[in-house]
Amino acid sequence: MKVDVREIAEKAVKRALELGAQESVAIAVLRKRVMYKFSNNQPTVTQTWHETDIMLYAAKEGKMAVAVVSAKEDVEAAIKKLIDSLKVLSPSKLYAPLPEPAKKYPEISEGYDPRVVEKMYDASDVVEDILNVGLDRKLEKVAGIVNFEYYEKALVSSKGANLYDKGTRVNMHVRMFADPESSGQWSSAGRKLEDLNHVKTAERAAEIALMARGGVPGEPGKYDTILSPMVVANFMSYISWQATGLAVIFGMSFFADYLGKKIGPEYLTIYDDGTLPRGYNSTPFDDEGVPTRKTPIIDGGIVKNVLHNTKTAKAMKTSTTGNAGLIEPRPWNIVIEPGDYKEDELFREVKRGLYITNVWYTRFQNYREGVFSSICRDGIFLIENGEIKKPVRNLRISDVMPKVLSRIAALTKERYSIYWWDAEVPTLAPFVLVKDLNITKPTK
Amino acid sequence: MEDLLKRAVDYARQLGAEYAEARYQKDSLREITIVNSEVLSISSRVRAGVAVRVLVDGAMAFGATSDMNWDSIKDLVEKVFSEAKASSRLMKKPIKMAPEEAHKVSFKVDEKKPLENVPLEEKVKFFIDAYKNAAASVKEAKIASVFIVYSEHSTEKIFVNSEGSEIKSYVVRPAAYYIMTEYAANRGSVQRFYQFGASGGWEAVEQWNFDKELEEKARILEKILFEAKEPPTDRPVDVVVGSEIVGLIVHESCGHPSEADRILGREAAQAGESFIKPNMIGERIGSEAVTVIDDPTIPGSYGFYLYDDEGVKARPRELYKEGRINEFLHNRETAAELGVRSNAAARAMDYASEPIVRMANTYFKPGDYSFEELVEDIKYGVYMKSYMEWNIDDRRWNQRYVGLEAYLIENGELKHLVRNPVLEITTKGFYMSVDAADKNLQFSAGTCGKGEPMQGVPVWFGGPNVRLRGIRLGVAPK
Repeated sequence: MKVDVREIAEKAVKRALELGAQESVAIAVLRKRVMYKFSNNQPTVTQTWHETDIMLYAAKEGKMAVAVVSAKEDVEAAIKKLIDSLKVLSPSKLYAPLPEPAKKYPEISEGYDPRVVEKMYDASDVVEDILNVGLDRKLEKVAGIVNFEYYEKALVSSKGANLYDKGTRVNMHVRMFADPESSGQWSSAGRKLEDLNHVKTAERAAEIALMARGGVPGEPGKYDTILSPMVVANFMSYISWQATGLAVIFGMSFFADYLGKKIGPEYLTIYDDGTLPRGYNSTPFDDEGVPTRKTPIIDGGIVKNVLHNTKTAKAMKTSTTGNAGLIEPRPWNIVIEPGDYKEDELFREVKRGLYITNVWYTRFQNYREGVFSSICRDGIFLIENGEIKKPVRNLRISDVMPKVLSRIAALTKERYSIYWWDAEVPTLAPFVLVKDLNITKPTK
Repeated sequence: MEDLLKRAVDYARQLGAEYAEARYQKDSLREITIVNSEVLSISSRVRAGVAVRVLVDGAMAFGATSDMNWDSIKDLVEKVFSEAKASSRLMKKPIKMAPEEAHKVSFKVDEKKPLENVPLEEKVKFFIDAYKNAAASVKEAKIASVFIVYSEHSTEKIFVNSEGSEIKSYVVRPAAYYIMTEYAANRGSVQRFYQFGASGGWEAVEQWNFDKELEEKARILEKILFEAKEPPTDRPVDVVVGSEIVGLIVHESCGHPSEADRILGREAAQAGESFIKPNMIGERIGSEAVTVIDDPTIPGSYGFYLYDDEGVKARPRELYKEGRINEFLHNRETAAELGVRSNAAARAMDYASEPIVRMANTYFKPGDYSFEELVEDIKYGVYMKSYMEWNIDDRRWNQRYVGLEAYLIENGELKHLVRNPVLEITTKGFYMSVDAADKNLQFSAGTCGKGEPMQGVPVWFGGPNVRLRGIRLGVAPK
């Protein structure tokens, strides 16, 4: 599949202007991707995609509309429909003129690795290595995915931006079962082949699964709790979305009450970074052609920024942070600054508490106030006097997110690059100790 | 297009695939996002392409391309063939497909009032008027925002396989969801999410009574802010669970654990597995009052289809029957492994998605009580009508639903509102506690997520109001 993404984007913008748009952006993406899925100690399915995605934005007299098509044959019809939409709309409060292209864009360090492209169609040996980690330890079963991707992206705007990026991505997650109820899961993500770190990632999952054997039902209560990077990354996927201008403007974010205020300890710094070296989502420019950058969300415990495109920035009387999707701002890569603790030192801080290795299904009763719960999966462990005492089961975190942030007590130095099925924003996360986390269980 | 698909299937067979299928799918989606009285954006998405799936020496590979010329499709067939071949050396238990006859059919959803014929301005006005009406109906509280996303989604498919099936379909679905946030000084805020969806035309949208829903819920949220008291958490009480929550519960703790791919471990690293094991057909999971059905063939439903994405003819499936585990949801792969026939649960979100085992329209079979009869012999209890937060573990056993609109019941009567009662319960704990269901079957619409990459497919989930005896409730933290 050969596609000139730049030519597609240039033609689309030209055509949108011819048909009556005053402003336009087109982003054409070519993606080649292979995902190896495995379960029950064998391959499940290999999935291959050769795809284009063409995203179009058009504006006229303060009105805006967006279209996305997968086949280049559908571009003409999509532009016509876009222009028709503009005729009936009224001006949007969120409209802001498209930005001028910048003089300089960041370079993404090590964002492209030709070995990923060479490997993607023939990686059954990687799957075999992962399966062998489980077999060697006589585990019951191994499941997960390994994903390889190559992309090219061109952005052309009516303001004169004509930008191009290409890169590779790799990620995996693996879940090991020592027995039907004792499991461990871990993930990795990056841009170079070695970022998979597939044997080490599988070993970490296996270690948790083996430790989780013989678990007993856990008890509800308030616990000093160590959250693994998998849990932290899951929470960050929700927190980072709530840390966007759109979520704040429309009352969908607990950050609205904390702008400029303290939300966590002074050593808590969380930022979004579109330029992170080897960052899974790093890219030089956002969907409006603005250079990406590093933007602190929480800096020294204080909420410093939410993420913006030019539209939400204008509505909140500030500047874009280079986080544009065409309508909504989006996070790129979330990075949590490391703490002072080694992993074993963190455990020694806990007299009686829990170690939660993974969660999923985080849901909010109220986004505005941050009331949520999240269900534990894989190993959960009771800690007594700084040591893991025994595995426990069937527990749930039920708490209020800003309060959870305020009760953070320590972070580790070592961090992990996590991105998986239920942590959809790539996160560089440490282990985090939270005091008095509220834990529940079923009553019947 | 059919010729191209047949050529792809023939080519895969020629290379040595024991089974091959090809699917053209075009999904056209238009979304209008309205915030309060303004249109935030109009967006459209057209995803069209060709998917191929091959079984080679017991190993499966799937591929998809948006470039629909023969050279690209041929290249894709070669790639998926060689990937399946390379994987086959690692197969301990080769994949098989359960037998299925070839079908040459087509089906289509009729639109009495085609969505295309209703002007965009009229649609925008319909939803903005509903917001204005709702905003005017609250007095002491304020509506911070109502976020409405209205969508029209058409799906055109052509499916062919190496066994001679050729199936064409066209399904169109309107849907609308909203998130309403209300607040009052010193009272905090409260939020409600709800989704409507159907297959059909604008006539389906008109049946939703969207304006009444918004107005009624605006007033209820205001009352929750000002009047809701703490729920009883100190002792077991009787609980009437409303249709909206019952629908979600049967989706989560009957539909999902009945998916045979989860039961067999295929989704273990993603959405998880199931407490149900292959040998549990016939085991008791609930009281006699519990029957749960999944039926893709309900006319006008959001999860509607007549043939699945492996070309199998759809039919209703009784998942739990009179309190016993009765039937799993199957595609041809899981059916072969368990020695049965597929019951047509294979669905693919779009051309770029592999068909996997999914629900369609799942519901708790209604009983013969009236709502008043359910409530009248409860001395002390809670009626949980709607929810916001919920989740369930990855074996579908430990689940939680947090009530939004919920009332105390005293001596057979509904009393004041209660704040965020929590039903946190095991699957067997829930279904065994059901002692009665009323006649009022209601469906809600949703997008069910599963698979990797994540596939969201349209579903309905529904049920009557049901009564549980002896439940210890919790309350959400403040």
